[in-house]
Amino acid sequence: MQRSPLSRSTPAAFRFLALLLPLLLAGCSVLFVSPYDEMTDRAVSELVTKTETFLGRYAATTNEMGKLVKAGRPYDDEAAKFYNEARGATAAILLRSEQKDKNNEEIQILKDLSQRYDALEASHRLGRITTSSAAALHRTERALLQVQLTKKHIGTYKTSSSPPASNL
Amino acid sequence: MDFENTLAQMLAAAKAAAGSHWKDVREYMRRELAAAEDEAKSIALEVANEVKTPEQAKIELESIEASLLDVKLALTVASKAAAQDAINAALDVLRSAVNSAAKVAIF
Repeated sequence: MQRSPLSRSTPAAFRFLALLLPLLLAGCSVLFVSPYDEMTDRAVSELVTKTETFLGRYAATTNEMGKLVKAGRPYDDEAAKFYNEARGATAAILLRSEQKDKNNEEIQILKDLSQRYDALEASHRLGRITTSSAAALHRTERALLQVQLTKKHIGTYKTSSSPPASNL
Repeated sequence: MDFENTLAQMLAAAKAAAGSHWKDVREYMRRELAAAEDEAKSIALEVANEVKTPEQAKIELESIEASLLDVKLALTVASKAAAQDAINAALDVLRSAVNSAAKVAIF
């Protein structure tokens, strides 16, 4: 039986280099994650700021025992406007993210973010919201920011750093 | 061209490149898992103190459960980025080694 050129007897180092050779010959780099996009990062940060401003006005605060410390504001027209605008801003960021390849996770997080606003609004319609009411929304926002941070750090292992490219 | 030495350099470059992403996510993951437990406790206490209704708590706890999947998605991106940087760092070393051995810039 004829043995493959990359058989077990071939030194591991040579086999590893041989596997990478096609990529090297193609002169390319691998891409598993869509590049960092400064506009998306900025839009997400702006949305987070608007959300925190809203929560500062509307969310009640409780102490460690779960007793009310500061009363929030009930659901009203202004709150409804905020939820609609937040979902609109999320949809705008999503539209941009969907134009990029290798961006499935960010797209899914943005879709989830819209649902977090839905859930917070649903709770708010039933009664007062507290800081803990926004816990899920905060977690999804942090996930989105973490993705931006990861993208920003891609390629920073290189000693000669070049500015991150946007593909839009 | 010294293949063993090149491979060692490639692996070292790959490890360093992947490691920088791990540093980013390690603390993030630890914080998120710890926070979820505290959030559930807070909601339960707020219901007990009639700050919010059980219906609200149900909506909020379901939302917290769903949001943990977003942490998983963020960690997936980090692991993909680590793999991408590791392979590209190794390729950079290999390109450099081939160019040095050939004494001309082939790649």
